[in-house]
Parts: sequence; structure tokens; C-alpha cells
Amino acid sequence: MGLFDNLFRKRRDAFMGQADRDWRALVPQDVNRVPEGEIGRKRAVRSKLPTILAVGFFVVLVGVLWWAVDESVTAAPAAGSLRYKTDGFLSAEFVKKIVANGPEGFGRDVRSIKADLEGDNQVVAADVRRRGDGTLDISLRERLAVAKVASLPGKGTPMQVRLVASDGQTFAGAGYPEQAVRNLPEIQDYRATGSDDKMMIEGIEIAAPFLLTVRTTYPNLYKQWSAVSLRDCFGAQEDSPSSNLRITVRPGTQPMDRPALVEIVFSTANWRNELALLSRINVDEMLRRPSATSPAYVLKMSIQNRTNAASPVPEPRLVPLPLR
Amino acid sequence: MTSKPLPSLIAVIDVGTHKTASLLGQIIDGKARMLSFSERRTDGVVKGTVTDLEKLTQCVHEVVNDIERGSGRAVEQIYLSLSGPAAEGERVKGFVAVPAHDGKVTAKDVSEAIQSAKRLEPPAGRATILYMRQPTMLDNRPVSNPVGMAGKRLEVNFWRVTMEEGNMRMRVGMVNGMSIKVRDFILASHAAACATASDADKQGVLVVDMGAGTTDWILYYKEHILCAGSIPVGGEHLTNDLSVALRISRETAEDLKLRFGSGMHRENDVNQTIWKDGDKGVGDQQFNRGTITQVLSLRYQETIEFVRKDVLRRLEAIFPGHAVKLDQNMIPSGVILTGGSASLADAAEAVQLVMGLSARVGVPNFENESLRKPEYAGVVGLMTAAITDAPPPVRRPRGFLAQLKELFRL
Amino acid sequence: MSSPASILLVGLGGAGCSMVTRLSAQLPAEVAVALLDTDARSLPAGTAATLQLGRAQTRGMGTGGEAALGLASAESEEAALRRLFAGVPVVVLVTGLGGGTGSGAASVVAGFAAECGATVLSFATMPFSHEGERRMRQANDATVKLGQKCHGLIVVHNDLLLQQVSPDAPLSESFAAADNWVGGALRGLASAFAPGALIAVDPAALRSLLSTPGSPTLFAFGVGQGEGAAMKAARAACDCPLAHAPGAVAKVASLFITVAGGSAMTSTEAFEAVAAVRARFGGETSTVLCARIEPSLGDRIEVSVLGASLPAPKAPAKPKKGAKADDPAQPIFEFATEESMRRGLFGGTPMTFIDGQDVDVPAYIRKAVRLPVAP
Repeated sequence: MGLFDNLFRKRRDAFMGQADRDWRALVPQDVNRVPEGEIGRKRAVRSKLPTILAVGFFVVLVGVLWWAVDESVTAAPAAGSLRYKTDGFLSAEFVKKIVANGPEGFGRDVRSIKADLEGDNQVVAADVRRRGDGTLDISLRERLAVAKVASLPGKGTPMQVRLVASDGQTFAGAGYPEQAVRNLPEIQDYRATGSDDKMMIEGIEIAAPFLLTVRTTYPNLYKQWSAVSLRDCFGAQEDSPSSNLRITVRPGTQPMDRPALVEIVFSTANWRNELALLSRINVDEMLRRPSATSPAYVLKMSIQNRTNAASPVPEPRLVPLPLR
Repeated sequence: MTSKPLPSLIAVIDVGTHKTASLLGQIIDGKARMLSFSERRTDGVVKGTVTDLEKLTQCVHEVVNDIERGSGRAVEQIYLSLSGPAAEGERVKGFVAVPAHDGKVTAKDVSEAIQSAKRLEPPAGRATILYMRQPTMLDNRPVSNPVGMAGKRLEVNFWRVTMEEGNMRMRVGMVNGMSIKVRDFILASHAAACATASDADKQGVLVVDMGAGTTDWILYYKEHILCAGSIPVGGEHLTNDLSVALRISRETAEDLKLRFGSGMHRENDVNQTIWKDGDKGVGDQQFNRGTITQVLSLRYQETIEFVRKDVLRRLEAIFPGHAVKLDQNMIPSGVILTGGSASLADAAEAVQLVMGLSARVGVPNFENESLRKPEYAGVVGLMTAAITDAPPPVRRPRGFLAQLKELFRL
Repeated sequence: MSSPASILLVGLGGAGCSMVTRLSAQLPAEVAVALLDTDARSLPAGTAATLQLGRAQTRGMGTGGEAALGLASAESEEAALRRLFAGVPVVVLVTGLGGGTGSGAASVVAGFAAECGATVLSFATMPFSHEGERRMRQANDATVKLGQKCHGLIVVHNDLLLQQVSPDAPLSESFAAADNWVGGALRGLASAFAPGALIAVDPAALRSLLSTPGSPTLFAFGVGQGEGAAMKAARAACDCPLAHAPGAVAKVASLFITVAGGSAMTSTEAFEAVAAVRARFGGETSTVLCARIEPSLGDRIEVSVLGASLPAPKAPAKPKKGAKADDPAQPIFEFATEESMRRGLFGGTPMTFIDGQDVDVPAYIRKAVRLPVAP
């Protein structure tokens, strides 16, 4: 029965009437002759030989192509060249070091090279191919850093700066130029467990996407921020009313002839809308109003304004910086 | 790509109570040429009913292996014979009223009538096996080809053979177990008739195939089958009767039946004495020939009487209200006796006595001399009937693409 | 009954009771008689013990051919029947199958007797072929059930009886043939229990012969007279129709042979007769011989043969592929063993009835045709 018949023939459960009781309908004979005895076997082989040859030919063809492209497991020359590109900052030397790691050195197979590369926290995905002449073709996708953390692993050890990616993972940031690191906002007042690659910062799952969004959507704002404080950020209870992210604005980015904006407070529950709001309001104009008498202000993006007791309306408000 | 068709292979197998025979042949110029033949004693069938399926399956496997080895070909499809009381037949009709506007019968009308006949449900628990064409009636007149003729009411008749579903599954399953498909079933009595009766005979003939376990009969009228039936009495009963009467073993009884048996009992027989071994040595036994002929003729004539009554019964069912008689007018070619038990001496005479029709022993018409015996009428007839009624599909040597398709079953 | 006799002859049903009544005149002393029936008219008040079955079910009017009614009637008299059979070593049950009382009650009565510790030997007659399909089928079913309960079952086809008499003899004569056989059997059995035999036999041997219910049983009886009476009797026993009925066993493993003759009989003659019987019927495992002198026999010699084999070992039940779906495997084999014993070649196939006759039974028997005598 062909494929077409199988799809479109009448279903057995639909009553076909008399045809149903016909012996052929009751006993579909699905027999495949298994050749018995010498004669049967010879006949079967003779009749199937062209088919077998054809299938064999195709298999060989595919195999040859496969080998020609890549994925061959045969040993490649030890000193081969490396073609490398990345969308991040990792250097070719770093990659070479990882590649050459292990007893076979440069000649080892691509799967293990790929595994090693992706093992590094900074690498999201590694695409490793070996060309026919032994050249390695590596292209990496790296984690994008949105912030940095400074941690003191313990007494006597120097301070460690690690970068935070948009998914919350921290990584060493090998290859990052100084300038890039300096421009990243720092995460402060955080609670963390673990260390190094396994560091889990409480609330990072909110702060990192927040920073990524700002960096991609409002880069002007991003450039002005120097730190993010997670003091009041309750990781697990982001919806609680007092959970917020406190952004420290870089002093150097402010004009001198008006009160300075020192801090911006976003609520963790509603930061997207607040970001949109911030991008629309003219903070400079607000700060130049005659009523702005304090030298420094904190911009709270979400104050519940109870004009109507029943429905509080969130709105941003400038609050003078409390003297500490 | 089309090429000259290869001669088709036909394999047939006739499973009887006493023996199972199988023929493998090729169709050349519309006739069958035998490639190989095989026959074995059947194990596990009594009175046409299967008593031991495993033994029977074993026997059938062996027979098929034999014909494959003998011819050097592999069998993929096979025709089975259908005999005995397991196969019940009855007449089914389909009507169609010819549309009035032109009053002429079209091919479409005929096919509609055929459809309506085939739509009738078989009795519960039974599967339909065969439809055999019977004369078409146009306004109650039998016509051979109604297309183009004028009339009001078209009736097509079929002789429909059904079998118990479980029985059918068992037989088909037995063959499928050898990875062979059952191409079709063929009524055994029809097969015997195809082997022994000519087309001229089929204007009116009653063919009686008396095997070891059953007696199958079929009545032809004007070249079509009129009715068919089966009595579960056969050669085994003859032997058993003799064995009980003479107090001898079945083997001895079989031997005596073949040598001294007769369908008729004559006065003179009681005066003859027979010795079992013939050498009057130790362990030999004497028998009165009269006893033997009396016992056998009683049983044989009784069986023919049963056939006669069955034929009348079925005819009455087909023509209700009419008084039916079996006479030479209706059945000009009389009775053709065939099957293993037709070899009984004076069988034809006995049939003539009981039925009142002329009778003769029919021998299958086959190119191969060794199969021209009444006991092979069944298997030879199967091949003849298969070629005429349900020929196997034409084989062409398959091209590469076709073979590839077959590989992926597309 | 003052003390339980060694053998209790029980007639069940109309046919059984009439046969027993006919026999009761000339029975040996060791045999006591009891009549059981649902129809009160076959239980005349007399010396024989009688028991009316199923007073509540049939009210003394018979079962009208309903086997189920016969079964219920027998079961209702269980207590009385058990009292009847208590302490009796051997029970011979004579019944005609096909009707209601015989077919229905036979297996129940035999069961009670067996449970009371008696060895049960049954003579059951099968209806004439022309009595019709229903009676034949009922009789067939009853035979199966009865065979499972009693230790020895001998089936007598009524058709065979017609063979024994000339075509123009009165019907009563044909029944006389059956009476002869059963009478001969009783005499043979009784001689095991009676004292003073020429060659004595322990009744326990007889009982151990018939120890397994459902074993195929052989019975033959022959009479010879005058010169060479013993050999004539032996030959008559070998040719006895009971042993040649369709489906009867041909050879058995154990035999119990009784030879009874007048005062002139010698043990040599007896042994010759036994040898002839053994050649015919087997008895390789054990042959038990009992010889008696009965002056009343004169120069007649009677040979009665009773034989049994252990039932064929039942093959382990294997589910058969494709076998009729609703038959469980085990009963197929049991039934087949019984069936092939009785129906011979055609055991295991369904019974075929055409015009009310069982066509597997030989034609000459059904048509009651006497065959020319062998030279």
C-alpha cells in the first residue's frame, strides 16, 4: 500500500458495509517473503542486487563528501594555523592556549576543543571547525558584560574585579580593555554566595536584565551611571513595595549650574515603565526650577501619589538628598 | 519501462482429508504448463474438519517446500481450495429498475445491480469468500449479455460462498505463516468440474467430487453454476463401515475396499470367498465377498441418496413453489463422478440407480499423464479454474526505479 | 435388605427397569436388585427394592425426555440413594440413554455410588438410529458424563441388537440379546464373589481392574455348546458385537475372564479358551481368570470377558494456534480421548446428522441389514 493509500484510504472503523465482511478486508495479508532454502535465497539476492548496489553507491558518495568537508577524526598536522574571530574581547592567544591544552596539542579533535572553550564562563558558544588542510576555524560568541563587581575574596588577597553578564553570570573578563571595564557600572552593596564563577549575587537576576535593557535601549543614560546599589533589592521578593534599585549617577556628567542629581531610584517591580518615563521627562528642567533649592537631589521614579485614596498613582518626584 | 510480460506462475494447493496435493505451473498461451507437483498424506483433518492444526500446518509446509524444490522457484502467492460443509453457499440477487426514458440497459445499470447484490450482509460471524456469476435475468428471462437490450427490470444473481470467520482466518493464517499470500479461494466442486466437464457438458451437468472426508457437488445449467453443496461423508466412511463389519483394522479394510469393493451388491457375491492376504498362509483371513459389497454398496448408495436430496433441497430454495425434479431433460450430461472415491468399482452404475440420471467417471483433462486420475481432479481443476476466474497479475521484469520503490514500499 | 449383597444390580429409567425385571428371575444369589425411576409405573411392588426419583419434580409421571429433569430428580433423592449404596462392593447400573431419566440421572447416580465406595460398572444402551437426532445427542452427552463417573462403561448400541436376530423375529427377541449379555456379565461378576469356584479369584482383583473412572472398558460374552464348547464359546466372545461396535476398544491391558461350565468342564479347556481370548483382546498387563462349575449349565460353556486399560495419558494442555476460539485447551484433550474411544475414527469432529441419523454410524447398522454370514 502506498503512502497515498495509507493516508487516504477509508478507515476500518467507518462501516463500509458488505465490503467489511469480505475475507480480504478481514485479513490483510502483510507478508514479506523470507526466502527459504537455496533457491529462494539465490532468487532474492539476484532480484535485489541492483538496489543494493545503488544504495551502496549513495552511501559511499555521502561518506566521501563528509570526509572532504570536515569532522574527520584522523590526526592533523601539529603546527596548524588558527583563524579566529569573536564578538567580544577574548584574544587569540587565550584561545590558542585553550586549544593547545592537552596531550595531543593542536591536533586534538574539534569536539573537545569546543567543550573546553565553552567551559569558560566568558564564552557563550564556540564554533570550531577543522578544514581539510588542518587549519582550525574558530568563531566565538561571548557574554556581554553589563556591570562589574569588585570583591575581596579574603584577607591579604588583592581585590578582584569580575564582570557581570546580562544573564547574571560573572566572569573574569579576560581580554577586556581597561576603558571598557571602567565604563561599566559597578554593582554595590550586594549579598553574594559562592565565589569566582559560581558567584550568585542576590537580585542579579533583576539588575542584570535592567542594565542590559538600559545599555541597549537608553545608552545615553547608561553612560551616566556609575554604580547600582542592591541594598534594597530583595531578590526573591521583587514585588515588595520597598524593593528598589539605586543608581548612582556619575558626578562628572552633570552641569555645574544647577543642583546635582545624585541618585535615581527605580522600583524592581516596575522598572521598565519607569525607564520609559525617565526617558521622557526633562530632569534638567525640573532641577532648574526655582523651588529646587537643595544642592543635591534624588529622583524617585515611583512615589505613590495618593490624590485619590483608592487608587494610588505612581509618579516620579525629586527629593532632596538627606544629609548623611 | 514496459517489456514483454513474463509467463505468470500459478501455485495451487488442495488440502483434502486423505491427501494434500499441490501444483506449480506456468501460464503459456492461456494454458497451464506444469512445473512441479507434490503430494503428501494429510495429517490432522477428519471429515473435512481440521482436528489438529499443527500437524496440518506442518504437512502443508512440506508440500509447498516440495514444489518449490522441484521447480526451482519460490512461491509467493497461492490459491486455496474451499471444500466441505465449512463453505456454505447461497444465492444472492441484486435488482435494478432500468430507467424508463430509453428503456435500454447500460453497463452502468449492470454494475449497479452487481453492487446491490454484493451489499447484502452475510450471516453473522461469517466472511464472504466468493461470488460466482449466475445467469442475468432481464424481465425474468435469462440473458447472457443484457447491455443494449430493452427491458424494465434487471436482476443479477450470484452464488455467494461464505465461511466461518474463524475458519477462514485459520486457513489464511496457516498459509501466511509460510510468508505466502493467499491469492484467492476456489470452490472445490467448481474446480473438479473445470477439470472434468467440458463447456458443452456445462449446459447441464451435476459434478460429484467424492473425496475421503466429504462429497462436494455442483450443478451447472447453461454454463453457469446453479447451486452447490457438500455432504460430510466420504471414502473414510466406506472404509470405517467395512472395518466395523468385518472386525478388521482400517488398513486391511482400505485394502479390501480397493480390491474387492463395489457400489453395487449382486446376488452372486455371497458365494465368493476372498482371502485377505491371498496366500492362505498363517494369519490370513477369509471373508465373504457378499459382506464386503453389501456394506460398501449400502454406504455408497446412501451417500449418493444424500447428495440427491441435498440437490433437490437447494433447487427448491432457488425456485420456491415449483416442483423440481432431477431428470435428464434438465441435466443432459448427467452426473460426472470424480474424486478419490470415484474409483470404486461400479460406482457409476450405483449412481445411475440412485439418481436416475446417466453417470460416468470423470478424469481430469491435463497434459501430464500421471495426473489423469479422478483423485487429482481437485488439484488440476484448481489450476484450470484459477486461470479462468482469477488469473494472477501479469509480471513484468522490474526496472531499477521500481525495485527502489519496492525497497521503500512506496 | 438384610445384609448388603456383593453385587447390586440397579435399573435406572424405563428401559433399565424392564431389563432388570426380566433378569431378576435367574440371577445368582450374590446379586441384589434395585429399581429407580421417575415414572411410578415401572416400579411394581415386589421383592425388588424400588425407589421413586423426583417425587416433587415429576409426581410419578416420568420426565418426558428431559434430561435436566432427570438430573434434578436424582439429586433430590441423594440421601436415599446413598443409603442404598452404602456398603455395597460392586454396583452394576443398567440404563437406557436418550430419554430423560436415563440420560439425566445416570451420571448422578453413578457418582453417588462411587462416592459411597462401590465399584461402578455401567451398561448403557444408545437409542436406535431412527429415534432421531435429539435423543442421539442427549445420549451422547450422557455417555460422556457417565463415563467420567463410573469405573467401567459399556455402551450397547440398540442398532446392534437388531443385527443379532433374524429380520422377521419379534422385537422382544432383539431385546433378549441384550438381556443375554448383561445376564452373562452379571454371572461372570458374581462368580468372583461366590464361594466354591474351580479357580477362585479375589474380589479385590476385580475391583482393582475397574479402579479408574473413565477408563475405556471392554466387554464380551460368548456361549458354546457341545463338542469343543470352550473354544466355541471363546470364539463367540471374540466375535461378540459389543466388542466391535463402532469405536469400541480393540485391545486392553487388563482382563478379567470368567469361564463357567457344566461338571464335564476341565481346567485345560478353560485355559484354552482363555488363551484364545487373550490373543484377541490383549491383557498383557494382567489377566485374572475365574473358572466355575455350574451343574445347571450342562454341556454349555459361557465365557465372559471384562477388560480395562488405564486411560490414555492426557497430553499437557497447549493452546493451539487457530483452534476454535472458545474451547479451552484442557477439555479438548479430555474430550478427545473419550470421544475417540467411542466414536472411533470420527472422534473430535462434530456429530453430523442427516435426516435425524448420525451418519458416522455405519450404514448397514442404521438400516438394520443383516450381513451374510462369514464362511
